Amino acid sequence: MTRMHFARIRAAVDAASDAIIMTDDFGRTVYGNQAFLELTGATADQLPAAEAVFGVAPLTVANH
Amino acid sequence: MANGSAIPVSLLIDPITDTDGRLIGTLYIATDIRARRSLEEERLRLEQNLMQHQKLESIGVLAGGIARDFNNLLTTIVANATLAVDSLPSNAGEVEYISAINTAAEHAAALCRELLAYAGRGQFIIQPISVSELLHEMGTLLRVATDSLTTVAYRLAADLPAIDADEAQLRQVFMNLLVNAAEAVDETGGEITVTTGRARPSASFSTAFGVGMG
Repeated sequence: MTRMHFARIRAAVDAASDAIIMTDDFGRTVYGNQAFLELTGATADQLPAAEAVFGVAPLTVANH
Repeated sequence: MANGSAIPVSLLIDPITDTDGRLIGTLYIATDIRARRSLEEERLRLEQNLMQHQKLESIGVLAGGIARDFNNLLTTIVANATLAVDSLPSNAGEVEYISAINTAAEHAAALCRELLAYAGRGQFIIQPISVSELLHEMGTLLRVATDSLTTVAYRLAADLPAIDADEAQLRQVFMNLLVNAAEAVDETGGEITVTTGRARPSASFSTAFGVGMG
């Protein structure tokens, strides 16, 4: 995937009206798009745990 | 939500895997479904309105059918009550009771005629009609259409010129207006005023509805 391609996908996800977050394999929230930040009032530097927001724990290597 | 309140979302959760299929994270996509919900509620409300309308329509047809049969039965009741009175000596105590039957049956027959008119006869008969007189005649039916806490007051102009209209249609119009007004009155009750009078339509009204001046 080229850098340009990646930037386009990133821009699309950032602009989506749905709230989108990604966690890593330890369940830590590593990304939240703009809609998610607006929905929760969180900042990009301090993303809340997915489970705290959606009530469903992320998948981790241990429980997958 | 930012202010701490919960909002309904449709939530999609998917594992994120690398090219070897190993789990490297989780993707959450939350769609705010408030707008969809309110659309669904609106659709449901419209459907219920339509059903209510269809129900009222079939009640009208049913009422028309029942009113005809009922009217025939009332004819028998009135006729026999009259024969019974005639066969009794005029000073018999029973005459009073039978007269009461007659009076009640005549009231019921009047209500029947109004129901028949409300249900319509399926054809339009355009004739000169006095709106005030028609509203006065419909009194009983209009009272039945409102609940007991709502009173209906009439201010009917006596000197109205007759209008050319189909009586059954006009009755339906008045009935609908009153039912709408009754629905707008809150549950603690209130008063609905029915007023008739003359008015000169504005030029724009005349153009819009194709009615002449004067």
